[in-house]
Amino acid sequence: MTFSDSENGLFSPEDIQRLMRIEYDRVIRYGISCCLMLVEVDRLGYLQDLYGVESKEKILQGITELLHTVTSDLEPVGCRQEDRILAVFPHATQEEAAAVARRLLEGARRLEFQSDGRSLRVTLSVGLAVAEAASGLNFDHFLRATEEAVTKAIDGGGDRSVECHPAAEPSPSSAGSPEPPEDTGSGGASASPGSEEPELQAVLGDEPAETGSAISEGLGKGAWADQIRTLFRRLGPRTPGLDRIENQVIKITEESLVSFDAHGEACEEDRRQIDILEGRVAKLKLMLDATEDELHRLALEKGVDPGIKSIYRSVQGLATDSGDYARKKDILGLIYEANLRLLEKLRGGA
Amino acid sequence: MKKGSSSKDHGVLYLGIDLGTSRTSVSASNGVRDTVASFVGYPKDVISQKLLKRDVLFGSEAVKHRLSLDFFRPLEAGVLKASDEGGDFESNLRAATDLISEIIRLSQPRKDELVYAVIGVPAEASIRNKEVIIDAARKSVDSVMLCSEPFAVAYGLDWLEDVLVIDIGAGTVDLCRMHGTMPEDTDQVTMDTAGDFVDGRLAERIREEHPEAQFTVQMIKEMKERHSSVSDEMEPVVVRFPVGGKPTDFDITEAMRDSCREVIPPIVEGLGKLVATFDPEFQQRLKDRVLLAGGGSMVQGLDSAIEREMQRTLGGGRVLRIEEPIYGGANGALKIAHDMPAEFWEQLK
Repeated sequence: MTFSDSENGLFSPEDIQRLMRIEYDRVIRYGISCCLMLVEVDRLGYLQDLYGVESKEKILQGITELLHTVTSDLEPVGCRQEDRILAVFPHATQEEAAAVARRLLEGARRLEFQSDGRSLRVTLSVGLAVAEAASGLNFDHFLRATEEAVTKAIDGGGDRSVECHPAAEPSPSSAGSPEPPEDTGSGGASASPGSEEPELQAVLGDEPAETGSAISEGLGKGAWADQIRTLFRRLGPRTPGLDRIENQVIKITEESLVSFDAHGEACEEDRRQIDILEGRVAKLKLMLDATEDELHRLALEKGVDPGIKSIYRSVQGLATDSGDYARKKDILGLIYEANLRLLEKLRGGA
Repeated sequence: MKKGSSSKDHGVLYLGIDLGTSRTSVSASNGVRDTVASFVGYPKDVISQKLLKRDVLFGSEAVKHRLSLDFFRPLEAGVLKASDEGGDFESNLRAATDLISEIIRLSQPRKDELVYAVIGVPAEASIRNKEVIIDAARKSVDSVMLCSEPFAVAYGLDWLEDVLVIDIGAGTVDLCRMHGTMPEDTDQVTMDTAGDFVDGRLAERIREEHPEAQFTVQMIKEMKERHSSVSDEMEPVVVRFPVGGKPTDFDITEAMRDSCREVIPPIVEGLGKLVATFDPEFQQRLKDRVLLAGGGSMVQGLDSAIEREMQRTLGGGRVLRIEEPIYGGANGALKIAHDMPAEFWEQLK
């Protein structure tokens, strides 16, 4: 893989983008497929705020290495685009690109980074655009489509990939996503020949989780309801039974999306708060350690008495050969229980 | 986490603390024993702070400089003044917290050791009072438990069965009946006819007999601690008070003896209640095993005087004064701390 980052490498990002364009033009000219991938680390900005720029660079470096590992057979050309990683896969088919995205997502979940003595785990949002020779689109259009796809993946909660065909809106891909995708482009489905059948199955089949992925996040209530009605119309002549089912599907979908959105937002906010608080605790702990070390050093310099060592290195407890062992054990248990009640009351009051 | 001086994995320091109205004592598992008068003072202004060179003073030092201090005695009648929610609540709470921190500092704990403390509190301390003490102590130790003071005394001496403990402090007299398990409310009696009560009676008596004498409660307290006795054959107590600025000697022997004797009838009356409600078969054994503890037990002849009063009202009894009145409660609390299983300490962290 030819890869350039901001710090080193044989080519600058601009050089690499120029090479990408050349490569892209070549594959279009020869009528072979080509895939563009844009990778973003979820919540990288927050991680940088909490753990510093060094941690961010370490994470991006790790993801770049991962990309090397999972794409070695496709020989992509890649570069860093600010905090994102862009890669072109000449000759790659849609299936191959989706497989790379899946391997990348899975690999990222297994990665573990260290910062301030804490281990960090990351997830990725991957945008994929697959160009067909017949589309006749230029590289910039292709790049914009990939950016839109990655934005969809991020808006969907991250840890997922979204594919799109540049000639149309982004289409869904649940590759590697552990959560039900919130919404992804329905437009992509309509632009892809032969995609009606799976979508109908998604709406009418036995897998309610897929229903959500058939609905674009960006669509309002009216739009996705229209989509469902369109799909039902394609089933054949209208009957009262089918109308009833259609209405029920719309109703259930609406309820599910409202509930899913509310839950997702709350979880995301909680996760953000936890990250911030954990970061603060880690920083405070470091400061406390440093302060205590300094106090210890000063105390030694000033000849301050460090205290007298206890004769016990561990908690003793009642010796079994103690006189009245059973009775004392009961008494100590009662003292403990009384104090536990008191403490619980105190904690409850606080 | 970086291993450093802050990690507490080099030992466990047990503390037994007797939080008293007059004195606070500590016995520690590193061999340290110390006591400090339960007084706390804060410089009144910047000038006194510069003069005293400290932000807070304790014990006799606080008493000595009390005129230039905001002076606190955070415990009164065996309870924290901070627990009554009235008056100078915040200041008394701060003083109590600082006093507990000071007594823990006096035990010279190492920074890398866990500190587990058992604090003796009056037998009938209120829940609110206990909460305030725990809250104050948790700022200075890793885990803390409370237990009743007279119970701690008995546990320290391994007298757990058929024992009556008399713990005479400055604020309260605690009576506790031990019968092999944790004493319940019905096994304990708390009275306020303790050291402060004697100080008050003695001051009244001197004021009646020598109205010209000028003195303070603190002066009376110091005299009592030096000369207190209930014996018929006590040494004459001659003290010096200023009269119109001139030091003058006064004989207060009678006043001292009579004032000290006033605590005896209530104590024996309380003992009588605890004996009368005990299993008749063991009442005599209970009367023959009376432990006298606390600072008040240092009143000369008090054990014999209580025995005589018991003979008169209860038909007999034997009173044994503990060897270390000042540290009896702290020693017992230390022993409880030592015997307490590790998981209990962990749970209360």
